[in-house]
Amino acid sequence: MKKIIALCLISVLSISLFTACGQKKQTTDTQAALETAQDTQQDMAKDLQVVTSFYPIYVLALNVTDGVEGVHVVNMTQPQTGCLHDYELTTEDMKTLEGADVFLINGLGMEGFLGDVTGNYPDLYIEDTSQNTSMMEAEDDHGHIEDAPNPHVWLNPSNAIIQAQNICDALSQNDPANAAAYAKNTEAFIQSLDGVMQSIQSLQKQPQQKVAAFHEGFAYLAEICNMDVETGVYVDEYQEPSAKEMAEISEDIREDSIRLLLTADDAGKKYADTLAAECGATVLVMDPLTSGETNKDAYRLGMERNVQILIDAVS
Amino acid sequence: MQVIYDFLEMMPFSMFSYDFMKNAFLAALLIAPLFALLGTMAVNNKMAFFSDALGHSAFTGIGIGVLLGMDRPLLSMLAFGIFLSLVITKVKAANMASADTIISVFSSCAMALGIVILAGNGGFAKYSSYLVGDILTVGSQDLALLLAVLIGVYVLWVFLYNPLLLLSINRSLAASRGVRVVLLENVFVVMVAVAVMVSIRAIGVLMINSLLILPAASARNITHSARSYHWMTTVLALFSSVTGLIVSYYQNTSAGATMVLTAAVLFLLTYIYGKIRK
Repeated sequence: MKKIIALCLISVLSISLFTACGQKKQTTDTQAALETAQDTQQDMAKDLQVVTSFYPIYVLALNVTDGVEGVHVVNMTQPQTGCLHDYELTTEDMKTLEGADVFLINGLGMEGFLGDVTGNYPDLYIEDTSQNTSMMEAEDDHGHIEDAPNPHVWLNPSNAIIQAQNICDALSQNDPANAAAYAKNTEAFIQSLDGVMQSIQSLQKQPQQKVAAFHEGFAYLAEICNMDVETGVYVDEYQEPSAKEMAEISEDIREDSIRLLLTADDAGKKYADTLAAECGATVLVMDPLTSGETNKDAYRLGMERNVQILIDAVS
Repeated sequence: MQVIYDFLEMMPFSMFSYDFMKNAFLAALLIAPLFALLGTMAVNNKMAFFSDALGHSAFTGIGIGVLLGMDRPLLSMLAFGIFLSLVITKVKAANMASADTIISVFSSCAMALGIVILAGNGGFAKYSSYLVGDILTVGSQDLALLLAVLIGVYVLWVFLYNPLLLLSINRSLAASRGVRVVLLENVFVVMVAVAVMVSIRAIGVLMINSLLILPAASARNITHSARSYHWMTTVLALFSSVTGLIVSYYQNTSAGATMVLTAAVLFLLTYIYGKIRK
């Protein structure tokens, strides 16, 4: 018995030592990397550590900081995390925030864990990028307005532009030396969306379409593309429909002669497929841009694809 | 398929005006007898906890599928379910600890591993539909698969019933009569694993075991021969699935859970009836 206890103690000790060593090595690595970075920049000020809460904000921040030296953008959550509903901070996330100078968030309740962050890091500069965006009310699947904003503002490119400008302001404030570079990048990002904006304008000239949405974010996309979301199922928001609700939604789709069902490639797609088979509607699989490639063009390309899908469906 | 749809539309229920309700109804009709049959033997062999562990292991199966980049993780769920059922049977046979301890160890491991993989890969919410199931989105492919498994299990049952019954009465006796005990046990647990995995998308991890155990347990309360036990289990399973689905439609409740509640009410009634008759 004593032997076993001794064995347990030894293994616990060795594991903690081992992990500690690993960490030390990691810090030396980071230090080495930092030192080389500092060597190359020599007299430049201390690097700016920017942390984003999730994917769309990360991609916008990549656009604003493109090519600017001495700024590091880190996405706190994994690229596949998707929307942050009920996300809980991991130890890794806390470590990431520990070294952050600026924390860029989407806002409008998307970051439910924000209280934990402000509690632990009262001095962290937090920028709510949804400020000044035009927001919609969240609706439940019967079109009733809920008492909360729909946080998926980035799916309207005009909002994404405002979010990029907010990011630009926040970074310029924390890193005045590079303010001009941030402003130039933001301008370039806005111009890169010209094509999408033109496509959207061509959609606005078409007669209004009634659609059903299976992801809450598509309300924004539908609105700017002259489409009216009559009904929807938001499995993503934990609104799994019961049999009766499915029957009601399929009645809605028939009565309003809704032809297009907008869904993301997630849990909602099964319901869209089922209802499409039921009512003879077309399912359009679109990208809510909550996950994907980690390069700065991902937002523009994703939006271009989304709008093209809608144009093809309407014409 | 169209013939069945037309037939269902003739029924006096407004729910059959929707294709998805017809599919859900057919799925219930296929799952109920499948689980009834396997449930009779699972209850006889005191394996209620075993099938529960299998259901939980579906999470690891899904997780492995996601890691391998599969679109529909059914294959990895089947593979892992069969693997786990065989391992549990093997370890159980070694008699190191009691069966419920061993099953519990594997059940917790499989569940935890699944959650680590799925949550680590970003967002457990995407897979939450596997917890309660969604019988409303069952398609014709799923129905064909369920039918194939149902036929397969019934055909195997014809050949395996007698040795299985012998095994459930006494393992040593079965072995002395020339029954290949280990092989037979493995075939049975694999059947349970396959049945659980193909139905889990419709019924859900949390509910699946109840559908396997409750009808058989209720039937045991009121029957006294092996033949009537089988029939009664099948009838009770069909009744609770169909009633549960209909009630869920008109009362606006979760389909899988309503089926289980109906089965639980039946258990209570048969229990009281059995007590009184004694």
